Amino acid sequence: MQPNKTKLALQIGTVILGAACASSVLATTMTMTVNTISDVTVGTVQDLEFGTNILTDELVSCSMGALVPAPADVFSDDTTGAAGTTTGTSGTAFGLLNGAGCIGSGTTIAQPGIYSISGEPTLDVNLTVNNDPAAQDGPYDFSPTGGCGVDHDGSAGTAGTDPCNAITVGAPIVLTLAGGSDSGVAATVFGQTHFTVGGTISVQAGGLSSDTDYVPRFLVSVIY
Amino acid sequence: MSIKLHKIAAGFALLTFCSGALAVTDQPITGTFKTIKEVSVTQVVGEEMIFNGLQPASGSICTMAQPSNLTTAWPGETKMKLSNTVASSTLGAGATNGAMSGAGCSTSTPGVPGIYEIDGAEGANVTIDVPGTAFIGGIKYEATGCAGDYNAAADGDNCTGFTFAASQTVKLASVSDETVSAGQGQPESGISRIALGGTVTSNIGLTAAQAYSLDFEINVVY
Repeated sequence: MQPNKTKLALQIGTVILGAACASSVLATTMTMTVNTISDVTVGTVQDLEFGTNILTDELVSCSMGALVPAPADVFSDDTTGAAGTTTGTSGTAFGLLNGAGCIGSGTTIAQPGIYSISGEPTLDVNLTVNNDPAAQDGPYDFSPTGGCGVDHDGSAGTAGTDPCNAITVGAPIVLTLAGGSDSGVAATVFGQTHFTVGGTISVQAGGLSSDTDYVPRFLVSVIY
Repeated sequence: MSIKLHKIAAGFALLTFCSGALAVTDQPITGTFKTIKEVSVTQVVGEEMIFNGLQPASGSICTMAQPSNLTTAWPGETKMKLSNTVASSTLGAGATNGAMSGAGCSTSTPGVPGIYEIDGAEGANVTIDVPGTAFIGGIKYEATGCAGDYNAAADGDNCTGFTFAASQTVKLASVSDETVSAGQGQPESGISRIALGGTVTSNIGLTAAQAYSLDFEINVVY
C-alpha cells in the first residue's frame, strides 16, 4: 500500500512548523543592568591664598611652596606624621613665600590650595594642573607650581606608603584614589585623593596697584 | 538573537558616550592675593631736626648724640611709639637727648633729634637707608639714628641703631604690638618712627647767628 504522500508531507510540515513555533516561544528577552563607575569630580578643600603679602613692584615674582604637607592636610593615612616629612620631594615649607615680590620672603607662611578628587575607590586617575592662558595677559602671570598629589596604596597607613608626589605643571600625574584598607590615621575618604597647589606670581612691567585684591587662576583636568 | 546583538551594541555605544562624563577637563580654579599698601615716610610735625652750636670756622664739626632706647640719648617712648620695659627706655625724653659734641661745636644748647614716621603694611619688614649728603652750601650731613623695630608682641620693642654708612631693616608694628604694659609707649599697627642725630661738617666759613637748612634723603623700601 502506497503511503499517502500528501498526508505525510502535511505531517512533516506540521512537525517543522511546530518546532519553529516552539523555538519562537523560547526566545524570551531578558534584562540586565550595567552600572558605570562614579563620575570623577574636583572640589576645593582650602583656597589658595597668598594673603596681603605681595609687593607692587614690577618685574619681580613671589612663589608659594606647596610640597610636603602634613598627612592631615591632604587626608592621607600615611603615618609619617609630622609636617614636613610626608614623603614630598622637597624640604620647602608648606606655604612658605619666597621671592623679591613678597614681603617676608623666606619667613612668611601663606595658604596653599588643597583640592579633592572624588571617584571610584582604588582606581587610578590622571591629574593635570595647567596654566590658564586666559589669565596670563594682565599685570601679572600666575603659574600653579610647587604642589603634590597623594597616591594611595590601598592598605593601612604605613610611613611613606601614601606619598604626596610632586606635580609638574602641564604634565599628567597618576594618582590612586583611596580604597581597600586606606583608612584611619588622617580620616582618609574612600574614593578620594587630594592634591595641593602653590604657585608663582610674576609681576609684569608696570607693576600692580597697591592695596588691591587679585584673583590668580589655573586649570585642572582629571580623567580615569 | 539579532535583537540581543543590537542591545549589546547599543550598550557599548552608551558606555562610550558616557565615558565623556568620567573626566574633568580644564576646570578653572581661582586663588587670591592682595598687594600691600605702599610704604611712605613723613616728617613728624614739630619734630624737625635742629643742630645747635656749629661754629663759623671752616672745618667745624658738630655731632648730635645718636638716639637709642638703650641710653639716655632718647626722645622717649611716647614720641617713638614703642614699648620697651628696659629701664633706660624712658617714656619721656632722656637726659642726654640731643646732646651736642665735637670739634668746633658749642655744646651748651642741646640739639633736637629729627623724628620721621614710616607708614606701611603691618608687621612688614622695611629697609631704611639715610645716605650722607655732599657739601651743600658749605655743610654736609651724615646721619646716626635708630628706628622702631617691633616684636609682634606686647612690649619688647627696640629702636635699632644705624648710620649713614649702611642700611638697616626693621619690622613695622603689628596689631599684637598694640597691647602694652602700663606706662609704656603706644605702638600703632603699620607704623615705625625714625629718630635721627648725626654729624654736620662745614668746609667753608659760615656766618654767625645764621640758620642754614640742608636737605637729605630717607629711603624706605619693603
